Amino acid sequence: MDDDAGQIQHTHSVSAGLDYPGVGPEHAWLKDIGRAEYVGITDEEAMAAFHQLTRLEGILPALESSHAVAYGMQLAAAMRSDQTILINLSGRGDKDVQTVAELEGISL
Amino acid sequence: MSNRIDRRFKALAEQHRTALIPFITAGDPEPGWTAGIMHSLVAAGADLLELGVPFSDPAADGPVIQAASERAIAQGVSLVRVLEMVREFRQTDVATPVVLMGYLNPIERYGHAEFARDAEQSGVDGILMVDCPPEEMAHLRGKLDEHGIYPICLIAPTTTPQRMSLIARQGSGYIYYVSFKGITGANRLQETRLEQPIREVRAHCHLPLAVGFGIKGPESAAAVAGLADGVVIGSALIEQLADAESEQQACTRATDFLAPIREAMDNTGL
Repeated sequence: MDDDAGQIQHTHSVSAGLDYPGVGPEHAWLKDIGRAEYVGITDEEAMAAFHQLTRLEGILPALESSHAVAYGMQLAAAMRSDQTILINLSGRGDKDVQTVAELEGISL
Repeated sequence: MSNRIDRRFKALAEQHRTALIPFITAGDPEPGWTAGIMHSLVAAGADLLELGVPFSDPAADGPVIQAASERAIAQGVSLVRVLEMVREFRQTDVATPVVLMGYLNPIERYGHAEFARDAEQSGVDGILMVDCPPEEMAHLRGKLDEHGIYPICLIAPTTTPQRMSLIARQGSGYIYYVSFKGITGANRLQETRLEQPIREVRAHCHLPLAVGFGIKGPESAAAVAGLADGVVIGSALIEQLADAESEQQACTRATDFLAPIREAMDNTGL
């Protein structure tokens, strides 16, 4: 996420915790040794997952965690119903209610 | 190994004078003016020059230096360009030490070996990388050593005595003591409170000690000069240069800003 001169590029993510142009050393290592696979999720997919989990389970995931939920749903679609997926919800979405309301034009 | 930094601090110590170290952001306000401004600073009494390498994500810089970096980056100032500025300065000044201050990523991109080689050829004497802790410095340090370039290390008010010893072993040239917990240019300097921490740093590090962050003019510079071996002034100087309309004007402002500080520093203790 830097240019040829080593200047860091601007980033965008709907979730503040992901709006950052860096990767921690643990993740970089896990990727390099092939132990973890990393995928991308768009703002829209994350928002849809936020609503889905909230409506179906009454659990508000943080917008960061909503990215994982979105990918979990994509994976699940290709899996058997007796297989299990574990998603770590790294944070709660109460903190993001304002952001979601603003994005969707809801006045609180 | 001795480089310009050692020679300069040695000469100053013999004269019982404190080094005046102005900091400017390379390429601000105009890339073509930097070498000229550097010469003006030397003419006004600078002993050593710190040249900021503009970086997009500066962790330690206050709003003034951040804005200066942004202006320089907008005009295409890269590390390559900064080295060209030093080369231009060196055409007529081979004595004044020049230290590049900045962040590691542009050097990572450049390549440690390539950077050390080109920096030496340009006439750089030291580099101060704010986000390179001594534990992570080994590879870069090896390359710098091959080219006689000094890594200058920072010590902060929060640095433990154990780390001071580690930093003292890794650093060369001088120690940059950050005068308070905060960012460059903030109004938090209390000169009288520096005495004790400076004594502590000196107990662990035998390199010359320069103090920076929050020194704004003759009065604070003179107060710090009584305690340290060097006084670094950045934000207050950069503010003077920011809206200069010509190189001539920028150079005049640099001189007018620095000369009274030099005078105040040289008069301490007399």
